[in-house]
Amino acid sequence: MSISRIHGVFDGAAVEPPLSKFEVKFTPLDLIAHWKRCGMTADFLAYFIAYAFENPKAALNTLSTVINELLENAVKFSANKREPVVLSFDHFGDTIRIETCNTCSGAITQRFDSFLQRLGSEDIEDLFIAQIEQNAATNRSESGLGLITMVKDHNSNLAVSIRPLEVGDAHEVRVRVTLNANEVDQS
Amino acid sequence: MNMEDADHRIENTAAGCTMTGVLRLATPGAYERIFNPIHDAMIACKTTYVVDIRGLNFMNSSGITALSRLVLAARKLDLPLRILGAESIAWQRKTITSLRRLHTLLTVDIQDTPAS
Repeated sequence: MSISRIHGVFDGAAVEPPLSKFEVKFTPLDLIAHWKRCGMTADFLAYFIAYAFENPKAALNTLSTVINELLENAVKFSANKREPVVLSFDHFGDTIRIETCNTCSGAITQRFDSFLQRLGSEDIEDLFIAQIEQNAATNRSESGLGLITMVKDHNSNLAVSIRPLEVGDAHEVRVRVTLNANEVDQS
Repeated sequence: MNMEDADHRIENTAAGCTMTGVLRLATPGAYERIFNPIHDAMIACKTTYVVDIRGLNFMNSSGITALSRLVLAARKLDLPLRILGAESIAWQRKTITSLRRLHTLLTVDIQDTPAS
């Protein structure tokens, strides 16, 4: 498990600079101590982005849902709760890219890796139901449902890069969700 | 500043519950405390149990997990269950309809008008 790997397709560096962008760093501990800060952040950033849309109210619900899921996951599964997680947003006109970057322990990364392999190969509706049945039998907090719904319900391109860090068993995990801006505007 | 729990409301009756606001608790386990009365009501329910989420603007994936556990509980009880959702709330229209496959006695009713 010590090699870098990529799940999905990273759309690479953009030719043009983004029309709009931001990047925010959080200390996971701050959000864990006051969990509602995840939702507050997601709502604020979604308002910021949706403000420029034709149907801001519809876009707001989808954007806040996506940002909140990514941020909650990044905070919950970060290996060191004092080490910043990064949340970034880029709007390229036709597409919107939302990305988180955090560290994960070796054990969580391994389970995440297996889950992503299933996400990339199995029928998404079947996987959604299978995960619900499996979660009911166990009690793990890592349900995977959030990422499944990103793909299943928001028609997003999900890409994940996993890179081992030089020291220890932790990995850097970057999760990128790319959405179609028109679909978000009409959601 | 203490603003915990100020963003959602769950009203329980014998035949159903109504959830409004925002539900983004940290884990599925955190939902157990607020969903336990719903589970108890389902056990006692003799007709169709109705979960009205039309006024619930957001629910995170831990909440979807907890809600799906209610569906599985209804399945175990052989209890007809009806989830009322709002067409205008994207996550409800898109995600909740997929729960139908969990329970043959589950009806997911996505309506045009939000809860008053």
